[in-house]
Amino acid sequence: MINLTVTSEQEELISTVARAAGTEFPRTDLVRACVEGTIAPIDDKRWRTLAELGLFSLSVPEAADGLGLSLADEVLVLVELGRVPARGPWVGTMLATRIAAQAGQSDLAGQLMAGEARAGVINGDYAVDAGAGEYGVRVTGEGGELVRITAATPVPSSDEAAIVSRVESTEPVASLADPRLLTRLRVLTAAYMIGVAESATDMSAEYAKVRHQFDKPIGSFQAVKHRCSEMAIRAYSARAELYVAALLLEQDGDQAGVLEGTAAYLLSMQAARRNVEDNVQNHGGIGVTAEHDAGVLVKRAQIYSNLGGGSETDLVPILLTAQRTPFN
Amino acid sequence: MEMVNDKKLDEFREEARTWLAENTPKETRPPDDEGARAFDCEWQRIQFEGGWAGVTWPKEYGGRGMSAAEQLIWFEECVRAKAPSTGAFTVALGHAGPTIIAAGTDEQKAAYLQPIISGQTPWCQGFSEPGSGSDLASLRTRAVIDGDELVVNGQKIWTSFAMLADYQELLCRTDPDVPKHRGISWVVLDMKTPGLTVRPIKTINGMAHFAECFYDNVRIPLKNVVGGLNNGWKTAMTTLSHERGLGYLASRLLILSEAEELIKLADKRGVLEGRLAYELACMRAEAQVVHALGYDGIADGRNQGLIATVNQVFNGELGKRLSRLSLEVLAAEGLERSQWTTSYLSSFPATIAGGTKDIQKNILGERVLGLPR
Repeated sequence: MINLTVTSEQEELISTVARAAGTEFPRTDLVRACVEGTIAPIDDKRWRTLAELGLFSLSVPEAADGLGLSLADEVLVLVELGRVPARGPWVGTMLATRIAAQAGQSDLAGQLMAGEARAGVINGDYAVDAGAGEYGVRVTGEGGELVRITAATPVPSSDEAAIVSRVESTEPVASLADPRLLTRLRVLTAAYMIGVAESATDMSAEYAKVRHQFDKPIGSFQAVKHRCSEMAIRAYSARAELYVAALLLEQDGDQAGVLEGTAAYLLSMQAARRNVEDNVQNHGGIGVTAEHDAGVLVKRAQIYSNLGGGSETDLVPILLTAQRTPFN
Repeated sequence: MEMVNDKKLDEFREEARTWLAENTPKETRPPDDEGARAFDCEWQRIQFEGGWAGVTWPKEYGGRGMSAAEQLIWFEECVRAKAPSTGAFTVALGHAGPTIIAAGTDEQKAAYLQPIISGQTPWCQGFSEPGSGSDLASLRTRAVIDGDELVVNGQKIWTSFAMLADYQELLCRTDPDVPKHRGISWVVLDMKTPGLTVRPIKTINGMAHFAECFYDNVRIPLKNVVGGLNNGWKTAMTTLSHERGLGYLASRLLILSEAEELIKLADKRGVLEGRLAYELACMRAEAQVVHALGYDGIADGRNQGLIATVNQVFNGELGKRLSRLSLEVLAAEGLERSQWTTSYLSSFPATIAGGTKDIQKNILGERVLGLPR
């Protein structure tokens, strides 16, 4: 039976991560990147601070020195990271740890868990948050591959807070045959995007309370109020779906986890995209300026909807054909 | 958030599945009022005698006294078994009963609960008025105290199941001189009371699910007031939050099988491609959410007000979109009246009944996001 009650341990994890990410990876850094057009690489100390909270050990079995928790815990963490939003190769490193640990590369898994190594995500020719000399994760319908990027050329990123490079060559490090890994990537990505979608809702609601026009807060106008409510509905419904997906994907059996995970990914992508756009609209002119936080969210949504999970169209066959034994 | 291996829940599901397989009526619900009423009463009676009526209702009122998790499982199994909906007992089981359990006197509980749960008395809801829709609290149906009776004059509209019901949960104004929310009472009306006229309203789908009720010096005993005189708004709100929560989950879950059925139909007709394939895929994804929101609703620590409005708006929109998409799948065949065209023509109340989607978005914006009125 699916139980969506967030346990007190999970509550604790959520608030610890939210606090640490807000301090070590503040949104102001991303706004500055937007204004200056560039951002410094993530320094090792900050990354280790978050890694020491166990972020990359969550779903690794205890036998492999992990925390022996689940995808659900990873998802809860990523929603918080998306809410900040915090930059960095969170999703890639989580998957890399899993691949390394399951492939028996315990030294590398240990480094990734300790924050001494990171891995970006490789999608087609592009690597996100990883460049030459660094690790990357490539996921397909058959499973995942952890590689070292041996040659890559940095390209201008559509989000200054993300490092994007064109990959020229890689060498294999570890691989994992697991047809569910692609859905896992989708679920992890979805979690971050739901965080972004929620952040956009909060930002709009706060602004709608303080911004006055015609001697009233703009949130009192139904056009704005209803848009904010629609943002909340999109984010909330996608989050409920995400929770179910995270739990079912780790269950053996039918395709329920794949169906729910794909649904969660589609809906979170739509929620993130629409909410960040509505958020700009709710802010009016100020929302389109480089020094405003609204743009940061737009760019985060653009990066995360291209982390290799596929486009909305790519999801159609699964959503139309995946069998789901009803109600077990 | 975790998968729970609870043997008791598994056994409950197994037991429910077995019972439903053996007891779900094979015949379809008759379309005429009298036949429909008899069918709904019979199905409720069968469930009661089998020990399945009111899974979460306290044992002392004939229920099973179980938790929301069992209620969710029961609804899932009903959908799986294609069991009939609650029909004419929707109001009785979903609003009137729970309200009386929450706010009724011992005498009221003794009088009304057993006949509901055992399938004897369908109820209807007398809330909306011609001038009071989204602004329900502005209702003007007047009730004046005369001795130990209330004398009611006025009009209600959009009353579902009025033709089939024995009782009505009636909201009327008992004090016109105080702010609108404070002068309302929640009263039990026997539908056979002289002075009450019920007139069916035929809707776009050709059916008469709703009715108008006219009250001409209708005399109701004062002891039929539930939750205290002039306290009807608060009393009614207990019911309405139930309506938007788990109450309708059984019928909401039907969208899962409807979505799959429509995809199969599109495939059979060779139109499962391009934009239509994309739209149907999105719809199936959203149908999964309806189920997920069911689990979300029974989790601890959730904002039930938020879930209620999300459910109402999300499901309403989705249901309408599904039947609109079915018209595209049918194309020219949609010229002919069928299950799908009827479903389309019946889809519009989904974002109106129980509070329009617009008022829901106001409520969410103001109460959850804290936006100014």
